[in-house]
Amino acid sequence: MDLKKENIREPRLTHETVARLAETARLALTPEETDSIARELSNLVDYIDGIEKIDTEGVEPTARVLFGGTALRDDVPAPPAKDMTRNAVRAGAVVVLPGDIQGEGGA
Amino acid sequence: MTPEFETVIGLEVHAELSTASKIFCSCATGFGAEPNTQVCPVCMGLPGGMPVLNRAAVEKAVRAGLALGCEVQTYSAFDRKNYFYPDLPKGYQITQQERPLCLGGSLMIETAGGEKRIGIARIHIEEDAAKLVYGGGKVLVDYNRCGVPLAEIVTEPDIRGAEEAAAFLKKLRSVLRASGAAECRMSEGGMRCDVNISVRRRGEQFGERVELKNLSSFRSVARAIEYEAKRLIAAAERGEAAARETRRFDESTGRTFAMRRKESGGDYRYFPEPNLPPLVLTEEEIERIRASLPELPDARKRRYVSELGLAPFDAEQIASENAVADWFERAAALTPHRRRLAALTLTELFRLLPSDPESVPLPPERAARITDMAEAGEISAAVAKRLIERCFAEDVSPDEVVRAEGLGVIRDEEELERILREALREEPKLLTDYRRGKSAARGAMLGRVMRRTGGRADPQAASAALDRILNEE
Amino acid sequence: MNITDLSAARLSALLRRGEVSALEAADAYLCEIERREPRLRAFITVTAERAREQAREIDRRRASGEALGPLAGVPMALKDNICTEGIRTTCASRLLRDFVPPFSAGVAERLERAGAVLLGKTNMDEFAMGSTTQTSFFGGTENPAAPGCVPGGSSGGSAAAVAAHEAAFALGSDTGGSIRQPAAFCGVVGLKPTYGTVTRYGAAELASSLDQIGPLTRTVLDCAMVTNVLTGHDPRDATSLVREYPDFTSDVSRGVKGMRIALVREFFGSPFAEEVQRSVRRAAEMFRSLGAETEEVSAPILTRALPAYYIISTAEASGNLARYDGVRYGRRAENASDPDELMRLSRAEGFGTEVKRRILLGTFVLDGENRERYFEKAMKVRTLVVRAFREIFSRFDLVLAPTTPTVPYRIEERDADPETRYLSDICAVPASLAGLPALSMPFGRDGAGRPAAVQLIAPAFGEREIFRAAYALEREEGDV
Repeated sequence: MDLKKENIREPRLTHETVARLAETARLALTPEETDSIARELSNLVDYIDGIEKIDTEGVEPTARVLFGGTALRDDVPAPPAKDMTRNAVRAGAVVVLPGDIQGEGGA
Repeated sequence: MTPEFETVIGLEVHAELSTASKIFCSCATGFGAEPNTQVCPVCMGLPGGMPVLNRAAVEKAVRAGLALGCEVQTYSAFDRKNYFYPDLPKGYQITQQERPLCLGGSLMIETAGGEKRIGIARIHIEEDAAKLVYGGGKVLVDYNRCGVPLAEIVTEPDIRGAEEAAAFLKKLRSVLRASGAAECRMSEGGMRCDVNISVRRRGEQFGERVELKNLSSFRSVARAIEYEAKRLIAAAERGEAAARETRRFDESTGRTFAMRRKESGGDYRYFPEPNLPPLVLTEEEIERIRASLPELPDARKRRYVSELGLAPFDAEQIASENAVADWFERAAALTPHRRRLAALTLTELFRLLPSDPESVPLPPERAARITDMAEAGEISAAVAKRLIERCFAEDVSPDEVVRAEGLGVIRDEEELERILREALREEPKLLTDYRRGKSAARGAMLGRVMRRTGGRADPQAASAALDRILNEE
Repeated sequence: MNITDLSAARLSALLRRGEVSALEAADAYLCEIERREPRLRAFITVTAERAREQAREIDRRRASGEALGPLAGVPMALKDNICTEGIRTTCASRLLRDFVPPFSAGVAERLERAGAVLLGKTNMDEFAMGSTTQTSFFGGTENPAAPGCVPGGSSGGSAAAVAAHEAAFALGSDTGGSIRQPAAFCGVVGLKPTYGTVTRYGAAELASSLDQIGPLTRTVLDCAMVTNVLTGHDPRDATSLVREYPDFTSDVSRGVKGMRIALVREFFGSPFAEEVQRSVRRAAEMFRSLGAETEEVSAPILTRALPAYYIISTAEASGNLARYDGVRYGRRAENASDPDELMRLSRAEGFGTEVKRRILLGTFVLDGENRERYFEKAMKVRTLVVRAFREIFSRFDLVLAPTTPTVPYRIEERDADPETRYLSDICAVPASLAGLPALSMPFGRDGAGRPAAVQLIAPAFGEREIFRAAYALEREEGDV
């Protein structure tokens, strides 16, 4: 990395932006980690900004390249799978988490 | 409600589609199984678990869409709604954000001011989340519900108060049940609702919108709306702008509380679900489903009014429960007195039925017989009620009960006069009151005859007998 | 005869004829693993006892005259992001270091049915994010074909294991070159099949619209043989195609006479290393000498598509890796006071730096208004890439291109800034974005003896043409 370049310019992503992204992505970063990732991400974002130069006027987006069609399943219940919670902390079959939460899920 | 203000409400209703297996995996959907016994790598979010769409979930949602007059889309697609919550194993919910399965429908509701059309903006299908239980400083997670198929039905902001919201939900439930799309068992969380509410001075712009999350009964919806509307109007009157926020309704206190921003999400970073090809339906497939739809509540209601001569209100109530309507039609074929049958159904039968009736245990021919006896004056209204209760609970014929228990109506005026005199001897005050000009005393005296005859007294004969006594002096 | 020096095709023929037993084959490979692993670290988990057990079972069934699958007794390895029931599957991450899946991936089942014997799970970049196999929590893999160099990545363990004769073949996963690039660096053959031809069920996802599982082998024929077993419909993967596949080995030797092969002009010049360009030009000459036609075409979008790849792949990855939250499995942070903290701490402790960086980049490109600016735009660029290939393949059977812009570099050089490292995928991502089949095969060496390679790209379902051309080149080169 070019140190001079770094000194002149504000990094593209600030410490605060990365901290917010880390909160969204549920990553508990240390302040040092946040800073170093902010620097690296700033460079990467400068790089991917290059995409702006490509002319996509009137072009439809492609989310998936598929060579087949809709795939549907018949509504037939399968016997229960075994051991699905064996890697979790449990009480009986119930998965147990610490603490309490307020509010409800978003679903 | 302050007349100056108007409450503007839109609903997002989650109805569990009635399928045997989950929406994206083959796990069973049955309610009440032991925790974490209906789970697999897909719904538990294990590495490499992949969704495959359940044909029946699509079919049921299309039924809902057609029953609500929506345009079913031949092309729809799935997106990921990304957020973290312990009830969400994959860290995202698979839903249809950009291209929902159904667009633009409506539902007619009965309001105090007559019929009203509530617009349906869209219906999309998605997966349910896990069940969390809190307590003792712990959170317990049962993933059985994860991946249960849901239809999310989003209304236009056409609803104007708690009563309309409740009427809409009741009607929606009856249409979903009748169409075979969903059972909507309230006690099992089969129908849940988010409420978007704002208030505005009449003729002005909408105020900021508040979202009330995850209400699971009609009553909660109505209470939450009433509370929130008052709160918003009070704020507006104080000149405060309402914050755009998500709130939770507390059943025990009847109040709403703002949720922390972290929990209410906000930016869900939607992107197309790469693991599911778009859902493409042909017009033929959609028409096949349309052709298989049974007659829906509104059509039944119209028919009951025009063919059976029912009052619109009665017709609406009966048509709203499929099992009851099916039963009613069988009974109505056996008696010419449909209005009386309807009246007995609404006043006496509905009380006896559970909230999600699958069938009516009272044989239709017995109901028809009770109706006929009541219509002919052979039994009193009170006896008709008793007969319905008896024939609902036991396998007995109404005629037998009337014979065995001597429940036939008493028309003999002398007999009724004798009973009346006895009653007045015990309560001479009734007569004194009457003489002093208290007209209500007359009704009370007739009530005594009814009570003493177990409701068997013919009202006209009793009235005539009473007149004879009152005219004596 | 040294068993581990045989190609998978040759070994399976000897196994079929009973000249080598499955147990002998397994023992020979386990012996080689024991000898070379301390230095290479191509494996995260070696399943020696299970392998011997499985081999004995194959031998028993062969002795009793049972019909056996086409790979019966052939020892192989799986990348450690492919779930194996009862065998820990770590994705080379601290987060999953003790995760033992309760189910097996579709490809693992297919190989088991075909009789292949699992030797173990191979090293990789953590969660397949990287091109060096140095971001593994279990330590980096060394390139057996270029000592002191990186083996490429993210399927570097699989490529190294095959190159070092620690396995007859291996499976990898390829999102933007993760099979082809390590195959090129380690001097082996690697195929990314057409999207949807090989089931992804049970393979930990990186970027679902790009990921494909594929084989890494020592020869082109081996590659075709393993592809035969991997392809086929899996109802548990909705993108898995319902389709009949030919026997890919049947016409590998038909030659390339009359084949039309395109060279993309933009894959020459900077930033492509001299020796890389030389290999491609020499391969083109060889194709011409074998009766194919070659022509240079221009498709500038192909070399400009890399930012689109990084936007799409990190966006999808940010969603795919959200499930690793310490709640149901995997590393679970101690002392968390509530579920939210449990997730934040478990993920922070479990993921390495590169994974965090990419999750955050993926979160960034979907964040608010960035979604349109980056993610939507990238999807449109993807359309342009699909169109560019459609245009080329309206006139050509194959594209001949470099696999990587450089030959293998030394392990110490891996810490160049991420931007430079990301550039190593530049030749590989176009086929990934378009879902097309692409194969990397060894083709010569540079002055220092490090492997060079070329890449062949075909239209969808063009694996047969790829194998034919690659086989012709391989035979002409006489390297094997």
